Amino acid sequence: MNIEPADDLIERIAAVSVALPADPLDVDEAIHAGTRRRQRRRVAVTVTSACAAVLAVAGSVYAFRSFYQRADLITAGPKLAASVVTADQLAGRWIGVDVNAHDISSWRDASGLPANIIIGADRAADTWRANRYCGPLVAGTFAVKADGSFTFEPPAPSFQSCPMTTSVAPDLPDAIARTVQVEVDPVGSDPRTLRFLNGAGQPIASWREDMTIRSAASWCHTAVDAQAVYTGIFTTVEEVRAKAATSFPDVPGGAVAVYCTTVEQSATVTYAVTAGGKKAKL
Amino acid sequence: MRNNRAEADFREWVLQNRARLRTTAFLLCGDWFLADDLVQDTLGRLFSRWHKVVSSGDPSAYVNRILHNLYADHRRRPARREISEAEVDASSLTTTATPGERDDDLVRALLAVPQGQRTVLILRFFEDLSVTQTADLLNTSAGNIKSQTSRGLKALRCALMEQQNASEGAL
Repeated sequence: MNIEPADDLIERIAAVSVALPADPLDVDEAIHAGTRRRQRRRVAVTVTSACAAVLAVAGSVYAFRSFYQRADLITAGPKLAASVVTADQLAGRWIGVDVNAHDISSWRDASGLPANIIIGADRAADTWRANRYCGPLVAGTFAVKADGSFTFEPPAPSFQSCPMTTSVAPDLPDAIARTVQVEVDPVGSDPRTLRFLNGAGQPIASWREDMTIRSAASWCHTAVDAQAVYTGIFTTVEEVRAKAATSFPDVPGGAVAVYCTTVEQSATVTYAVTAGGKKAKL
Repeated sequence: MRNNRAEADFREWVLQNRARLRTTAFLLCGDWFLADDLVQDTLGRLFSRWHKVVSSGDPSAYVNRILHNLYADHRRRPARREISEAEVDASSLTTTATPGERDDDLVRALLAVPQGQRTVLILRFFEDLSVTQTADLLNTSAGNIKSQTSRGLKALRCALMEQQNASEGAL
């Protein structure tokens, strides 16, 4: 029986090699999260300092008044969240947090993407796309009714053969199909949360806004050139491939891309660019 | 301008260190999904203090501290701990195809070492931290780190021997 001396074990730990699965790390998201965190810290410091100064200088009367004013603002929050939602407010990519009370935040599809729904891609405000464990995205439309309720149109059920997996894939089309009402946090409360509710107002699914698309202008600058302009239209790699089949050969079809335009040799040229800095000329 | 420069530096640092960070996180928790979430959170926190961390030297020490703290926080949450331990047995190892059988054995054996000792082994030998640096990061004494190291190596050796016995028994 082999008994390894400690030095050998230490060398083996130091040199341990693990084959890494698909890399889902999103550096843009990390930068956004870090920036938000830094801003929150600054605001907290500023607010704390301001409150201390107010308390010290103005005395208890002002302090109580500011307290009541702040209380009014807080109670206004839910009213804003429950106000009428428009399709434009839902545009973007939303990362799944939970579905049917199950935490799906750590679930990944075969290409390493989290469960997500993309609304309003290609400037079609009433369309949605969602991923499943493998295969193309599932797509459908939705409608906003006058009373603020929502009707999602799911696609016809289709079978997709996938490799064996030990985790159960969340059924996003089913969650979408059962939704009759949507609530979304007001603009400015980044990252916003989108909630799907059933007819009884009970939660079906919740989603966190993917903030990466907000830096699409910098994607254009990084991947194309400093003069490149973001057209304001985002799409999926799948859609880009439908236009130019050889585009992004090693990027998952469910990944988000944006359109950028620039001028090359006096002609306007359009590129599709991904968050990872890959570009495809269209 | 300063922010653009910081972003570029940060991206370059991530590009050079992401594979190692992911491996460290996986060796800590034994679950790729959780490991990637931990690394994603770690990078966000790192960027929020990027200027300060860079000006004080190599970000690696700070990153190790955040990663360890985030994982410790995760383990303190009972519901999440239950999920992650279940995943260690089922999904994580099946998604971890190591290139050589020898490394595969070692990874499995490492994941069988008690959590505290495993953390010390990873920080000491995979991250190449000194006893003092590890003690500082884990907020404990150097003596404790030395004893955890010794016990961890013993546990690792036992786990490797058990694997070896099991494979010989199977033959």
